[in-house]
Amino acid sequence: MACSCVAAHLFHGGDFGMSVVIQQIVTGLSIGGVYALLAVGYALIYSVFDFSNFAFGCVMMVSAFVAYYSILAGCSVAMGIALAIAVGILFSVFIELIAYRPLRKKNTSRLFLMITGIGIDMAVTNTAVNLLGANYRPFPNVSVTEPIMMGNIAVGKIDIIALIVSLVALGILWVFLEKTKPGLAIRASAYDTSTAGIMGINVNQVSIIVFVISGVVAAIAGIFFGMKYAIYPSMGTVSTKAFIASVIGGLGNLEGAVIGGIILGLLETFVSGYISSTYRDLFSYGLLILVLLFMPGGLLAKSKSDKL
Amino acid sequence: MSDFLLETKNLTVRFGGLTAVEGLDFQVKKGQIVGLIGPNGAGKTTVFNMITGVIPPTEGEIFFKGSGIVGVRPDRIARRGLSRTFQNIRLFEKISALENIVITLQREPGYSLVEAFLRTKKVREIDTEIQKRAYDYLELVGLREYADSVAGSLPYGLQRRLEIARALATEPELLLLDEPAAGMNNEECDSLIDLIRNIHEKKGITIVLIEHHTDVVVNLSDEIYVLNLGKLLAHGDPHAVQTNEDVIRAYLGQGRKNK
Amino acid sequence: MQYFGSVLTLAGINMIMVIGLAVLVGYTGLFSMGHAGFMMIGAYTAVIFYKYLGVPFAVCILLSGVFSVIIGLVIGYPTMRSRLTGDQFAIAMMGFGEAIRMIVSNTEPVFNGALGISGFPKLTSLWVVTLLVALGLILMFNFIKSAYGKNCIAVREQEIAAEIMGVDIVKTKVIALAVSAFYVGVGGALFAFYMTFISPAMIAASKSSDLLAGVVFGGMGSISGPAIAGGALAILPEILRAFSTWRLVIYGVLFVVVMLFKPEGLLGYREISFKPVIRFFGRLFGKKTAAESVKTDNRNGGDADE
Repeated sequence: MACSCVAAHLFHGGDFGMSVVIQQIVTGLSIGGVYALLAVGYALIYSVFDFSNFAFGCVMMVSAFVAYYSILAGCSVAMGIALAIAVGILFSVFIELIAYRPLRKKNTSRLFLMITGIGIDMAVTNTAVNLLGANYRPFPNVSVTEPIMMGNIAVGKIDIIALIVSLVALGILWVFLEKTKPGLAIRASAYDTSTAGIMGINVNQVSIIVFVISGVVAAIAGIFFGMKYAIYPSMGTVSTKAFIASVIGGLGNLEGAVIGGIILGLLETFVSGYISSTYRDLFSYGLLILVLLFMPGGLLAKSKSDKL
Repeated sequence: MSDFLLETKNLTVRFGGLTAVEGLDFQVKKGQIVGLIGPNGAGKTTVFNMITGVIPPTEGEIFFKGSGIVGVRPDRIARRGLSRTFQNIRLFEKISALENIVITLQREPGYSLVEAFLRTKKVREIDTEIQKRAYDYLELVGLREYADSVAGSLPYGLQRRLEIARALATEPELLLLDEPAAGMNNEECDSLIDLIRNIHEKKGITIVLIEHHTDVVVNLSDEIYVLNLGKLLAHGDPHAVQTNEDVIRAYLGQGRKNK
Repeated sequence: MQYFGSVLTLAGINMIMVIGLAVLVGYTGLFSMGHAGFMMIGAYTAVIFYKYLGVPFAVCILLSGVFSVIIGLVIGYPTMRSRLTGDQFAIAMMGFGEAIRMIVSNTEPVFNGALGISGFPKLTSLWVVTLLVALGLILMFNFIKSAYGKNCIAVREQEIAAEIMGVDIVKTKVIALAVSAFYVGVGGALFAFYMTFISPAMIAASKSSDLLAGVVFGGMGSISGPAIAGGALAILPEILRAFSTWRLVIYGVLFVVVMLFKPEGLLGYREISFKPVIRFFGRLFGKKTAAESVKTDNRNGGDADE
């Protein structure tokens, strides 16, 4: 994977003392936070509609590019990020409206939904490759790579920011889902979409909210990923990690998605640091297989309802 | 070893905080037709789902032919001689009626994968024989002329019949019918009653029937269990159940909400 | 003429792989974006056995299929056994495809890392491929007509009912995966011995998309449709350079359009009459046989019986 080489720069090995361990935990948590965000964006849709949104990665990529080009065109960084989030929302909702919703209305199998998602991802990603070139671009006008010293522990500035923003975003989302009326509607739909419809919950409205949230988290994740590594057309493949995190945590379970994301982030950081950054992703896939073998439901399986 | 073909003891299932079925003791003797009735949401289909292994019970035991089947995979339970139909029809929609039966008859191929790839003489012979048997099952439910029709395009009533034929093709000892008369008019109900009786007598299959059409249940059942809110409300012969006050109350209370 | 032959060879190789994937995706309803991984396994298995161990070419081809199956079982069984959704399987397959590429790209001994392996002769000729396509099609038609193939259809159509009717879901899915892995593995081996050089970059992740495109456009639940589409999709980029660049974009858009308006694909749940396929095999690429497509004759159980 392309990102692995960049990650390797952060770890030069040698000193494996306590401070390095702490530094790696922080890095792992920050990567894990971004994965957790992505995984929640994916799991939310899965929990409500029972299908995998495989078009998720390209929303992340498009948002990152919006930030990139708008900042290059002279926007402030904050403005660029705001635009990226706006486009992430619009694009995510657009996909829902033109592709997923009409298909769900026809009650198609989830296989068709997966193929549709992959189709969107293929079309968008390869359009970007053809028009923009496949090369890697550094995130403009932001220097976040320099470390912050905390005592004798050096931690990447980007890691701290990513960790804080992910936690805050996850916190806001949790409050939204637990304490607000639309949040309750989403949770009810996640329990049983058909019954939710009967209970007077507008499933179409729920779907819009869910895809808006998914667009926001995709954009935030895309920006952080771009800042930490680079921006490039195939960066959407990182969403595979979100899927894996989701399966590890328990498909369709939001808390599980967060836990899965953080476990994955920590695992990858430690593998990069102590074993080899080349094989970092291999360990993620290995963990996926182990989980499927020994805990097929994931760490926190979504409780099955009587859907026969 | 009990003398019941099917027996549940303290069968209980909870989904989240909701108890769908609670402490159900349910017994079916070989050769009986047993009715399982109750207002909507009483947990009848859930009982079928637990018996067929689709949903694991939270508590309790299920015995089929004297051996426990909780935790046994649905396909293994089926192969022990238990089959069912579904309330919301679950046919193999996009293929022909005949193929629906053929698939079921061939669920255990009877030849190896290599033989399948080479399509040996044995495979072809088995195929021919299976085709013949498939027609017999269609004949039994009066669907022979629809053999080549796509299952999903058949009228509702015929789809229900095809589901019964498919269930019979597994050669069950016990057949669970989940609202076989749903959406049928009186005339169709009458012919369904004939069909079920025919199956019961000719094939000697024990039947458990979930049904809202009172005519059908009362007409067919030797014994009726009434469920309400997941609990057993009453049980006995059709006449006793019909005059049971608890049952009348449960149905009247629900009457307006029922369609 | 030689150019024509080479295009046809590539088309044939693609056909073999696409009909393999068709069993899994079209017939059984399981989604995979990782089958490039099996192509890679097949290619490297054949090359390594040939080059380093001196095993005859024909045996190498067979071994490549067998190895793909073994690794397919290792990855597939846990996901099938868990009996959860097709989504887990899809995600596991994505991971699988990536993992295989990563292992091959980074293993210097034997695999020679990203540089790949060269220095073996061109043994995949048009005739070899034609023979294997014919054989592959016949065997595949036999398979889908058999009880095993019918179980696949049952799983796709209505998994819960199939299981309650006594179909062994896990076994059926594992068999479907194994069959698809075998075909794609063999395709990979043929591909390597056609190119006379193999590297991880030659079997990019986009190869999985190419294969999937063959199945989606050819028809979910058909073998002949994907065979034709697989051949055609291999030929198009060769004659239209611009198509080659934009093909993945076009496939992507068409995936969405097909799913929205004609999810069953070109041929849907039908097969082209079997005999003309064999008889006019050489002309199959002309697609004329599509017009002769007949409904599967259920009463006679197809016409290959005689």
